[in-house]
Amino acid sequence: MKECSQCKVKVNTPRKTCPLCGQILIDDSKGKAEENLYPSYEYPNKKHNTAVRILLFLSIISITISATINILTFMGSYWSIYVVLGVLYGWILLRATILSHQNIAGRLLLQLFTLSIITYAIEKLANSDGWAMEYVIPFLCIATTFSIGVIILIKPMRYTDYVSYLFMTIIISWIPLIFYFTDMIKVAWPSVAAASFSLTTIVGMITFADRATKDELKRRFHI
Amino acid sequence: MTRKKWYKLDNAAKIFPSVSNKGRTNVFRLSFDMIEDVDPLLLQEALQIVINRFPMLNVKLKKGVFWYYFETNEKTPVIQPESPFITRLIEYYKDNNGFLFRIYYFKKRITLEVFHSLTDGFGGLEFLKSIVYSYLELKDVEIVNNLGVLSDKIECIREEDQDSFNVHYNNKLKGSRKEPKSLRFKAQEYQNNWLGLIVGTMDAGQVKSLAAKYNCTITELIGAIVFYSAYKSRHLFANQDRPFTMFIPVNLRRFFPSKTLRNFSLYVRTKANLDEEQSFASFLAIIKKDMEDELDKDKLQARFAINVRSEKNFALRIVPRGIKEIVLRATYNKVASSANSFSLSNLGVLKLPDEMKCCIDKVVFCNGASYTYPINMGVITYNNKLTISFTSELIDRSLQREFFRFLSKEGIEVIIENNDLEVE
Repeated sequence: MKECSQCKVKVNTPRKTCPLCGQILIDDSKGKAEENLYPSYEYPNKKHNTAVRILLFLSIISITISATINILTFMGSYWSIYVVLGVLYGWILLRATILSHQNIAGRLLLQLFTLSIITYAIEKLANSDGWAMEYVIPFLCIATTFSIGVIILIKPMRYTDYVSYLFMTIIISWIPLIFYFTDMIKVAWPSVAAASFSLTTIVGMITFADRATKDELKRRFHI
Repeated sequence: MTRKKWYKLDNAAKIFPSVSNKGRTNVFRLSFDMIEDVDPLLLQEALQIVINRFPMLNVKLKKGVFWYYFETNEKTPVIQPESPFITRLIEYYKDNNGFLFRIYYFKKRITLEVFHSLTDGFGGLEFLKSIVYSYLELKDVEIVNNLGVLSDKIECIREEDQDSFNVHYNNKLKGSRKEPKSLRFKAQEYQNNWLGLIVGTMDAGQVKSLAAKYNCTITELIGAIVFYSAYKSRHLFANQDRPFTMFIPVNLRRFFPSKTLRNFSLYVRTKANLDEEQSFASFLAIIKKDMEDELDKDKLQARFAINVRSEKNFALRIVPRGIKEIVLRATYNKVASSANSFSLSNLGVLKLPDEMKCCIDKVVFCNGASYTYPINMGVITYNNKLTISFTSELIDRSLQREFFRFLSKEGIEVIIENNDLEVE
């Protein structure tokens, strides 16, 4: 075994220098080389994802150009914010939904959230009269509940992975109705439709639920 | 369909999923150096036998609405050839079929790396012991299991998956969470969060007689030498007016009756000022006094009572998980990251049946370092071999050098080995 004359320690290494102080080691093993005790390593090649970079660059440019034109020709409306929202949605759609590894019900729920917020923001920006809250969001809720329901019917083996997302969508489906009763929106029928659709689904869930569903909900919602 | 087993995270485990990332992995590592080369096929078979004996480790991490939780993992854990980078982040949903530990093999070594949420050093050691036991049995080694190594032939008992913090919680005890700020390391780091590992192997008997000479325990002796080495390498520190604070994990199973294989450890702290005139003797006096004061059942119980109390607070429990995580992360970054400078974890003496002893050369315990604690130490004794490992984010090795030079000056024969991360 090799030895360091400075540190007075023995060193078990194929190296020529002491790992503690860098001193050249005294070798008394008479040519018998030590083995590597740890796997050797390579410096990683950093992968540069060119496609993502180009997209990012284009997004920034489109936002900058539209903001510039918006400011230079300002006519009382901040239309460039639509561009920002559009680009933002594009990124969420691409990275967090299409390319994501999360389970599909979770991705649908994410889309429900994003689309609700973005349509609501556009509605407010355009000073229009509540179409997002009155029509878009309730129908999004119905669509999400329906899609997750269908997925569960198609893939019953992965039922427990999806059921808590379905449950959350059902809870969210009731929010437009609350808005109706607090007079924030005027058209009732889409909200009522969303709420009753979710009610039907939950009644169906309870009627047909097995032990596994109840257990899964207990786990996911334990406090 | 059988009912899935699930567990709440124990009190100590709750913090880790929220505060772990590539630079702060909260992973520790235990390895057994065998006499002969490891047979991967048998090791895989042994792992598959043993994992069923440890239901509390056979889990994946799941996100609930209010808390994370563990759920039985129906996939199979797979052994891997050892990575050159120790205690890398265990990515909960991608790595190793969702298991929160890894089993590595490399030449003669079997290594276990565990995410700290799962269990502490004691639980990890029980698991690895059991794997190696099964592995040796598959290699047709006849073992008389007189020391109670957990194997598939010994039944699980209910207490093994207990959250002992909750069981030994006393709601009358009050304590304070306030901690003074401590000295921070400030030096150049390896790139990509790599950790350098330096292991010193020595004769436990020699160290024991050195401790006897100074009339202290082995942990106190090692702690005092760390203080002294830090004192000698003061150029590594940023704010020198603060005390150098050493974090020493304590196995609470020593103080409270518990058979749990999940987390049940706490810590004591000892601190010394490095900006004053100090000597080895004065450091030893400090650490002896602190250990005597702090290693007290009631004090320890009061300290973990604070954590259990906040876990039981209803208002905190109903906060959604996402918000909890942000708060936990902020608190941890503010409080924990400045409370300690260095962590010294001594797992004590490992005893194995004689037939196993013939097949295992030495055992090493590594306590993964992070950007919060750039240098950490793990100590374990087995078969009269004491191994001290330094894991370090820092390229500078003066603290390690001073440490081992002190030991060799005291006449202890040290054999050094290291993973080969070098400055290039």
